[in-house]
Order: sequence, then structure tokens, then C-alpha cells
Amino acid sequence: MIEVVNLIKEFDDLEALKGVNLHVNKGSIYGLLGSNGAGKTTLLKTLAGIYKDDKGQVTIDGDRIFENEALKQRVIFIPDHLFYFSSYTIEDMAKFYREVYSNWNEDRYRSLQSVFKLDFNKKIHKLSKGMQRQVAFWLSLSITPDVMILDEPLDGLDSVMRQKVKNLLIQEVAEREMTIIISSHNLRELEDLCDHIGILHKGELVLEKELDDLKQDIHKIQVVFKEPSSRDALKELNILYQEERGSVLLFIARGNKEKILSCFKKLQPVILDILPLTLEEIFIYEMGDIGYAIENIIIE
Amino acid sequence: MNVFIIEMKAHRKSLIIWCIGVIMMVGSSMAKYVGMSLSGGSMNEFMDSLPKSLQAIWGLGSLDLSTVIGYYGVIFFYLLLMATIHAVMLGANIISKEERDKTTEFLLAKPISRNAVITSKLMASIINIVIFNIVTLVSSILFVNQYGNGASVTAEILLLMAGMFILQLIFLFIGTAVAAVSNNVKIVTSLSTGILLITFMFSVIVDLSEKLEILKYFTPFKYYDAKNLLQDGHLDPVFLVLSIGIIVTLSIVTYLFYNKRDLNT
Repeated sequence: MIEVVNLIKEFDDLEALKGVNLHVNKGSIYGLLGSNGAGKTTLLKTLAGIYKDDKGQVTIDGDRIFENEALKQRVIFIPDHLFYFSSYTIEDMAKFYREVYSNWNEDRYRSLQSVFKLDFNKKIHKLSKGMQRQVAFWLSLSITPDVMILDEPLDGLDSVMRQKVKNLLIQEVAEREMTIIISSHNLRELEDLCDHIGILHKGELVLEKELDDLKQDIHKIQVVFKEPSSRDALKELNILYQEERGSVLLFIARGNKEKILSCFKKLQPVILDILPLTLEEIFIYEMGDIGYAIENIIIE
Repeated sequence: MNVFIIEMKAHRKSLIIWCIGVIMMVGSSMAKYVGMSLSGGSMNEFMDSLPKSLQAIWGLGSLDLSTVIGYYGVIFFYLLLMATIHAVMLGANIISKEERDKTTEFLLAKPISRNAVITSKLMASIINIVIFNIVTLVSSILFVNQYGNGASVTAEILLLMAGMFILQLIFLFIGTAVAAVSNNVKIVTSLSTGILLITFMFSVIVDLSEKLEILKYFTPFKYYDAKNLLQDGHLDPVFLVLSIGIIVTLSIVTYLFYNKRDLNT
């Protein structure tokens, strides 16, 4: 669906992207993570056809996006800084979109009013920052796009609205196989939304993986033993980290869930819990080698 | 089409202000003519007694100030200046404003090609300068004929305005070309008005000495000089061809560079 091949993007003396390769499947929600200045926005703007892909290739459904009007009809980009014409109401702005996008869905636009509960005739500039962001989603979803490119989209939304918007997006993906690529510097925000994760660091994509793959392979084990005993049985496990909290021992281990469990059971623990890791924890334990990139994403 | 309407709206207020300015300019200047014409030929004598450099700077040339059209010719010099400043700033602004106002990404993410964006913006600009020109034309005809003691000078004014229109086009495209080529939004307006001032200075210098005659090809202001237009009764074909050449070149530059470079977002 979305294919980026060896994209290099330079501005004057800055090399923002140094040969990025990225793939997003149709109907997928792809989370693009990265520290500040990693090149997320540059990549997204090139994907949206705003910047020219002068070195490398950026294609959506096999077609180049740059200056491609037909393709842009199906691709919507919500930037981190929103723009509305001054003194336009929501309805005025909808009129503009209606004329520009041939696949504008009027019914959808009307029905989404019940979600956002904003007045059609309200001047957009008088709305709060978060409400303006809601308008952006409202208008964008009314276009029924095939691809949504979102740059820090949930900033400024309250938690209720955040959830509503996430649900709307997931619904679109489930019903129409819409594809979403979403950038953030916040792992937690993307965890329950994305199925694929890509991490951009200093202009390079250092990791691209399916979220489930990441999660299946790594586990957190909480265990309490009756008395200190030999832990030789655990040696055959790939233990990344261990910690003692009073009588509770905490292990982070990589490998098959069943195998890990049976190893621990041999030691006859009083309590044995195996828990999935949060995305944040996975990155801390597994991706230490990318160092800075991950640290910045987690701490923010 | 959308971009065209948005640009028309965006420039409506400024156009109205410029039009009021130009009407006041013509009105107040022509009102002074009444007082001046009473003194008869003495005005010409006085002007002749002035040093040539002063005459050139004031745009007097060798116009006969005792006739209404001669007097209008002097005003025309200032109207030209107003019209070209308006045109060059309009051209520079309309192309660079997306980069200045950070609206490039909004525009370019939409299914509108860059060529369509420029064409709409140029159409809106041309309509703006046509309106400016018509307002100048109509107010000139009304005021000049009112003070002209019966002798109609409409034909002469039409000729002068035709010249002014071509000059407006040249400077509009100078503005758009500078904005399209320049990567630095901040300097676009000052650079294009700078070009205007330099060519304007050239046109004054040309009048100072006949040795500098050759410079007249470098300043569009000289292409449509009131004195020559009124003497010849038609636009000079050489300058006309030159003007068309400049306009075509600058419009190609505008399209090419706007398409070629990454716009600031």
C-alpha cells in the first residue's frame, strides 16, 4: 500500500532523512515513533506529497504521490499545526472540502456531528485548540479517505475525546480497510491503536515490526518462592532482567510462554504470574542497543 | 477555482484602499489644475527655468503644462508609480504568502496541482490589476474631462492606460517570479520593490542626459512614457514586443521555479 524506498531528504545543510525504507499494508495502523528531530514530520510530509521525493521513492498503491491529484483525493494529511481560513465557520470549511474532494460524504459529515457535538456555524478560530483538532478529524473523516497521515494527532484532545477519536479511526480501518500512518513521540499513546510500529532515529528507520510479534516473544514473570532455593532450572531461560521486591521476584524473559512457565513450575513457587509487557517495557528491555531513540520516546 | 475565489477575497480590502488612493490622487491633482491653468503659460516658463534634473525627478519631461492632457501626463507619471507598486507587491505577496503564513502544507496536501495553484493566483492578480486600471481610467476620464474645457481627451487617456496596464503586468510578473525563485520569504517583497525602485531611478536618470539613452531599454517605465505616447499617439512596437517578451519569460520562470523547489512549510 504505502511504500517508501531508500528515501533521502536534504534541506540546505541538514540531512533530515538518510535512506528510509518503510512499508505499510492496506488496512493497517502504523505507528511512527521517534525522538524530537528524528525526521517524522519530514517523512510524513513527503508521504503526503508536500515535499518532493527527489532521492528515493514514495508510492501509494504503486503511484507516486508528489503532484498526483487523483491520489491526493484519497489521502488526507492532518498536520501538527492546523490551518483554517480566517473567520470561517465549520460549515464554510466543509464547503471548501466538499468542492475540493470528490469523495466527500455528506451523510457522514452530518452524522459525525453527534460525536463531536460542535455547532456547524461556529467560527473555527473561536474554538479551543483541542476543538479545532476535533474539527480536523471531523472534516477529514467526512472525505472517507483511503489513507490518513496523522502528525501528532491527539495532542490537545482531552482523554474522552482521545478515546472517541481512536474508536472512530479503528472503526474506519475495520469497516473500510482504511490505512493510517500516525506519528507520535509517545509510545503509550500508540500502543492500543497500532498494529505496526516503526522507529525513526536521526533520519533512519531503526526498527519496523508487527506489534504482536514484539509482544509474543517477551514476558514478565512475577514469582514468590516458599524458601530460597537453587535457581539452576532457570539457567536455560533467556532472562533479560531480574529484580527482587521483598519476597516477590520479577523476571523479564524472552522466549516461548509455555516453556518459561514450565521452568518456573519446577521450582514449586507459591505464586506464579506471567504478564504481558507494555510496549514501553519491551523497548526498555529489548531495544537497549538503540539507546537514545527509545529512551526519548519513553521518558516523554 | 477555489483558490481563485479565496485570493479574490483576500485581496479585496487592499484593492479597495488602493482604488480610493488612486481616485483621490487623480481628483486632488486635477483640482489643482484649475488654479494653475488660470496663470496660463507662465507655469511652463517657470518649469522651464528649473534645472533639468529637477524636471526629470518630478516627471515633467517636456509636457505642456498649460494643456489639460499635458498636465495629466505629469500625474500619469505618479499613477504609474502607484500602479506598479501595487502590482509588484501583489505579485510578490500572492505567491509567497503560503510560505509566509505557513499554509503551504495545507494547500499542497490538497488534490490541487501546483500549476493550478499558480494559475488561479495569477488569474486573481490579473483581475485585481484590471480593476485598478479601470478605476484609474474612469476616474481620470471623469476628472480630466471636467476640467478640460470641453476638449475631449478620452482617447489619449485610453492610450496611456493601455501603456499602464502592460507596465502593471510586467511588474506583477516581476513580483511573482521573485517570489517563486526565492527560498527566503522575508526578502521577497523588499527585493521586488527594490527592483521597481531601481528601474524607476533608471527612468529618471535617462531623462538627465542623452548619453544615457541606451538605459531606456532596461527600465520598463520608459517603455510607456507619457510624453512619447502623447506625441506618437500609439504604443511603440519595439517596446511592446520587448514587454511581451519580458512577461512571457517571467511567467515561465514563475511556473518553473514554483514547481521545482520544495516550498517552505
